[in-house]
Amino acid sequence: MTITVQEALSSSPWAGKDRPATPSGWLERASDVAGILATDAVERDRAQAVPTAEVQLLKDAGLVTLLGPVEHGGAGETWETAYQVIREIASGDGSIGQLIGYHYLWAWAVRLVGTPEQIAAVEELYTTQNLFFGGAVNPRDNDLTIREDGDELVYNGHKSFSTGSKVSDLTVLEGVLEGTDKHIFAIVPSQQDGITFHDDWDNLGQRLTESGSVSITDVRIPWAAAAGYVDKELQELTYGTLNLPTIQLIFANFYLGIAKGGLKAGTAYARENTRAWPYGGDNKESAHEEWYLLEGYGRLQSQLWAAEALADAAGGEISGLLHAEREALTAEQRGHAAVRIAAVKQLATDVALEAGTKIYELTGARASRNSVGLDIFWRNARTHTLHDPVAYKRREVGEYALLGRVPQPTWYT
Amino acid sequence: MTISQPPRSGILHEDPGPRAVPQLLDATREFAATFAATASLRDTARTIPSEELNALSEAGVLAATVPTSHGGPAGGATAAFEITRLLATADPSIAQIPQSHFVYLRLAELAGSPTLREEIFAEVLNGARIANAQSERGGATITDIRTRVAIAGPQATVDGEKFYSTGSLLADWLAVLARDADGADHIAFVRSDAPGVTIVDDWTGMGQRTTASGTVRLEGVRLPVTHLAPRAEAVTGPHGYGAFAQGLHAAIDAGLARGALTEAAQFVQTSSRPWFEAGVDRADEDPLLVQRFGELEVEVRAAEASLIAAAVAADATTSLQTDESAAEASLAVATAKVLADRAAISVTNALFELGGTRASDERLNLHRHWRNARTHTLHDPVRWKLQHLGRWTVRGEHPPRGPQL
Repeated sequence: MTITVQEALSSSPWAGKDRPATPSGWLERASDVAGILATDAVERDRAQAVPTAEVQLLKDAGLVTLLGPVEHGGAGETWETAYQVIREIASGDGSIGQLIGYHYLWAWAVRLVGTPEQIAAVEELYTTQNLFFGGAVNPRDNDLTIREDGDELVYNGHKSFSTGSKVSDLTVLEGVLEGTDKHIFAIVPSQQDGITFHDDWDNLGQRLTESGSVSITDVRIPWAAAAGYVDKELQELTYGTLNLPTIQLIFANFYLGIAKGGLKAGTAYARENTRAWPYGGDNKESAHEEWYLLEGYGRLQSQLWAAEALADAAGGEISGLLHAEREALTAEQRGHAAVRIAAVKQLATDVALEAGTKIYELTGARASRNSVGLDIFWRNARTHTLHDPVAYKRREVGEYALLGRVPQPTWYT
Repeated sequence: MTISQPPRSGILHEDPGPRAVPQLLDATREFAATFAATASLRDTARTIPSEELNALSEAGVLAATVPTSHGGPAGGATAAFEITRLLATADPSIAQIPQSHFVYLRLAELAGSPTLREEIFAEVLNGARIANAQSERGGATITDIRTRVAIAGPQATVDGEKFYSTGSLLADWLAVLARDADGADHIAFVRSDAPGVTIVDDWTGMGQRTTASGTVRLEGVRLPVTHLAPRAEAVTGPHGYGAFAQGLHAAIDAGLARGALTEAAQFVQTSSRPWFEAGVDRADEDPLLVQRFGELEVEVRAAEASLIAAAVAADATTSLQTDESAAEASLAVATAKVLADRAAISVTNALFELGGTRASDERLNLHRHWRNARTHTLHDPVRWKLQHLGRWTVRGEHPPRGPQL
């Protein structure tokens, strides 16, 4: 597909087509969306407009309710598929891959910590109305403060990053109830007076993720909507600690998508433009006959496939846990999934950064023209891979390999 | 033993006289070419290279660092590293034997009594060799030393047991690490034929098989106190002592890497068949093979270049002994060690990839390169060199001074 996002929105490419009914059908759909996104990813990245159209495209494609219950019109797909969809979308546009990935986690947040009644209500709401999630839950900031006011809880504070929230319909908030150590998650409408987006996300990469800071001023929820609380007490489950491995694998998948996109763009450029080197003494008619270039692409592709294979295996594992009965999850199962995901994360980091830089070496000096825009892949990979230090993921895997210890749940593990 | 009684290695020079460093390096190159031809045989039969070491001693190569004040060429780290590297290109076991010889010559220079210095330097100029007797079996870490020295007036007595004593089977002197009653460490320069000294040939390493590294037993071994050198200041002062010692190890790995790469190239030129997809007549014309050689050449040259830089920094500590100059020597040597370690492991692995299946023929014994590299690079953990470099880079911290850096 070579239509742009705007053209796709006006021409409704999926109107009249059957909705996908299988994982491979959804991946094909994601691939179509990635193709549309890739068409003008560089231009959109430079313009850094609010990605409202992109989110609408995800909604139109049916991807926003991929995990939503079938009875409410969702696809009822598994996380295993969702991870592959994230990767596919990121291959077209790393920012949008991040947005859909975070959306899946926030849409699942109610399952992680909510009561059965809350789960039913939230899933029905977002699935029937095709709503998009954002969040403002950066663990390294101070928590939002929560004040009790009768039957209501009132959130106040500031968060440095609120990925996707500005273009979302619903936002996940987290805070601590004053005078207690109770952490309380809540889902609130994103577009309300109490939420002020400061539009200050102007970073090297992942520029369309609307990850700027946000102020929360007197945002109210009923106590009854405090996720997981019954009679003001949290009903805690090990299952709730799956949030971190789940999102770490989301990261890894959009890193791999970025790598895939970079390799795709690099090879596409090389096929059309890269000229053979004339001073080697083993001169070829065209660059794609040069041994060393072929070897280089071969190495990158192999690294990527290896990381994707591990990502898929880890995706299958945690997907099984996420869709099983919540009470059945053991800390050991959670730990084994987490350690494998830590391994994927480091491989995905390495391959995304390597692909983002190596494609230049394999395409040549002219490929550094801004109009080519190959820099988007390294910029995107370099920016998000800073989320939490990958060395600590290696350490976790090392502790497992050496001592058989699985990582303990933290805000980053 | 005195100078008039020749050491075991023999004195063949009528008038040995100190030879200048360039001549010594030329001589070492010639020796290396000869030693390379028989390295595999020695490894297979585990033949201790006594003739080879004697030839080096006789040519004055092992006296390269004797100070000019004592009639030597004062080649310093620059000469010692390059001699070691050249020998390692041919046979890294031979290269490792004089490692402690050079180190304890340096220790005698820094901490020895005038008597000891006179004696040792004169003997070394006449072909004598020193080996270490430092490490001990058991103990929580390598700093846990149980060998004791008892001092009574002008006499001292050493008792203990050492292992991994590289070169001890071919040495005239043993530099024995021993602790006195007050807990101070000394290097006792003990003659290897002194009563009470037993050297057992029991090194069974997978690689570096012919380093003559044995167990040394010391039972009531007597020596004059003038042969005791206090260890602490020499090792921890700003003299670049540890950097010098460690640089020699880096030189072994760098030389080993070069030797293996040279042999890989020879093998590809003489024995490998071209891969059919390359569409070339000879294996050495295969573009992807050539590419791989290029990558490995970079690794080996980086190791070699950093070794030269390390020698320069280590030698700078002989004229300027400050915390800064010592730190710079340690950091330069740490860099050389890391690069040499990587090059050695990388080349000795890749050798097979380059040569093809026939390179694994047992009769060729090409795996001795990997066995040697893998064994010798374990001498002390390279990860700590990275720590010291990193701490300097990020926190401006000087590396700790000790025997290994």
